Amino acid sequence: MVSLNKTATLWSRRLAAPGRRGQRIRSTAPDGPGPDCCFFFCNVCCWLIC
Amino acid sequence: MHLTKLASLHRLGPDKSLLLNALSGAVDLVDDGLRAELLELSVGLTPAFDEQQLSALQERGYLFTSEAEERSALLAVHRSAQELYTLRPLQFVLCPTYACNLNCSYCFESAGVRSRAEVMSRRQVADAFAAAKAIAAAQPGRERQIILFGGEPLLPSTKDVVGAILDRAESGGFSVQIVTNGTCLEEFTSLLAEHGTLAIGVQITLDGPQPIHDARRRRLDGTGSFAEVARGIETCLELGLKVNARMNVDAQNLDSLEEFAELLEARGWLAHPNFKCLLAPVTDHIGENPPPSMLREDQLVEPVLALWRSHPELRQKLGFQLFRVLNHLISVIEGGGDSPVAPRFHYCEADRQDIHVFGPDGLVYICPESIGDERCAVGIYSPGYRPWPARLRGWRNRSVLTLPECQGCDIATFCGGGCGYAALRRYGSPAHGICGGAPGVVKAYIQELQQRFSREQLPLAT
Repeated sequence: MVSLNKTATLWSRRLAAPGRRGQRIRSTAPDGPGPDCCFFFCNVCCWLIC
Repeated sequence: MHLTKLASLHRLGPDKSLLLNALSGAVDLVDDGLRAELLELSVGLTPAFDEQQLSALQERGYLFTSEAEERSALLAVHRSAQELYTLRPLQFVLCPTYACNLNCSYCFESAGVRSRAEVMSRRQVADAFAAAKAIAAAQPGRERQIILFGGEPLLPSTKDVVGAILDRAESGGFSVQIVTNGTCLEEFTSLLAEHGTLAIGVQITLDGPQPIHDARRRRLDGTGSFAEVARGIETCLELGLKVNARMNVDAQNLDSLEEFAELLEARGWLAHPNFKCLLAPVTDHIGENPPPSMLREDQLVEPVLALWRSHPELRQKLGFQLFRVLNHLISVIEGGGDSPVAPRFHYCEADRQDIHVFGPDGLVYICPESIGDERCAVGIYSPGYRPWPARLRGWRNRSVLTLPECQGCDIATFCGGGCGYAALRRYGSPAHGICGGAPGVVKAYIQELQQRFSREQLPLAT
């Protein structure tokens, strides 16, 4: 068995990992980074405009 | 020993199969020996895994001691995903009118809805904001976002009401996004400039180079709209607004993606920090009247992958995130792309009631595609907000964990359960799964991987 993605990146670990929060904090500045959900694409956006 | 129901095996070639895990997100290559043992386990036999295999299969989230333990692991991933979703804004979509000044070849809104000239009144705007605040009060701390949508929200007839909406958004602490065809943007320049503190984002549809755009996105008199839209994009960038250019992709413009990227580059937009481009497959969730040039996402797999291989830079220049299933599979299997993709427990925001749509008819809808269809309304907002619990019930907790058709599906979290509006039209309730194109996309992508595997070593991420 050859693993193609690292175990540490699996949803069960990556989503719950401490420190995930705050990696990207939403900024109101026009060129600021998006919200945390854009760091980890939630994949439910209709328009991807959040 | 219990094998998760969210595992699927896909043969890539001799002695090599892809093992996908829609519970943990693991992707592995297995030989025919392990493939046979996994198949035996799935039919209730007890294969003799060696210790190394056993440990790897457990660590990668394929094997559990019982079905209850598997369910518990799935619920833990679901809980984490729910926390992630709450970081998204609550969206309140205001449609100043259902009318539109274009007659696009693939529009999902019916001509009957688009011909309704009614415009939201100031009273309705006040009532919509009151409803939005009441809805948001149940989820304190979440960002609240106004989205202007239609019809076409930016028309000469809507200028007054759009001004009223922006005023209220500004004083109420809402962020603002505008989904527009971009043809009348110049008439709104001063209004948008007056509300500069809102950091407004604008989605403008541009369907390709001028001849292609003009053939698809025509005015009611049949003339094209490219020139006004391009000027509108320039106007927004000059105002410091964030611009998301959306290209709706189907058979008519698929071959022009390279030329389109050159156009965006030549105009200096791609280098602009406030500009991004996003491709979206033309869809027909209802299936009653699909546009003749529409290509389903599974039909787009081969041409899109061929394009990425011949022009890898296009994957960065033109955003492919709305090729949802394909983007998801590729980001997991091959890496690259944009942000890491989360499991998809829901199909869209509507499934979590993170979106409410307010029309000029005084009604509230959950899905922007359903506007103007009173059978799909979930309440009244003017005069006074009165939700209809019976209509909302089917949308509540709509996820692959609850939809009956999704139980036992081995790709459920790649798909999200399909379109709730399509389910509502087909079954009379959104509380049903709609397979849509997800299985077809998985099949087409695996076929493509098989062909690549027969030709070359797969460039798989590790």
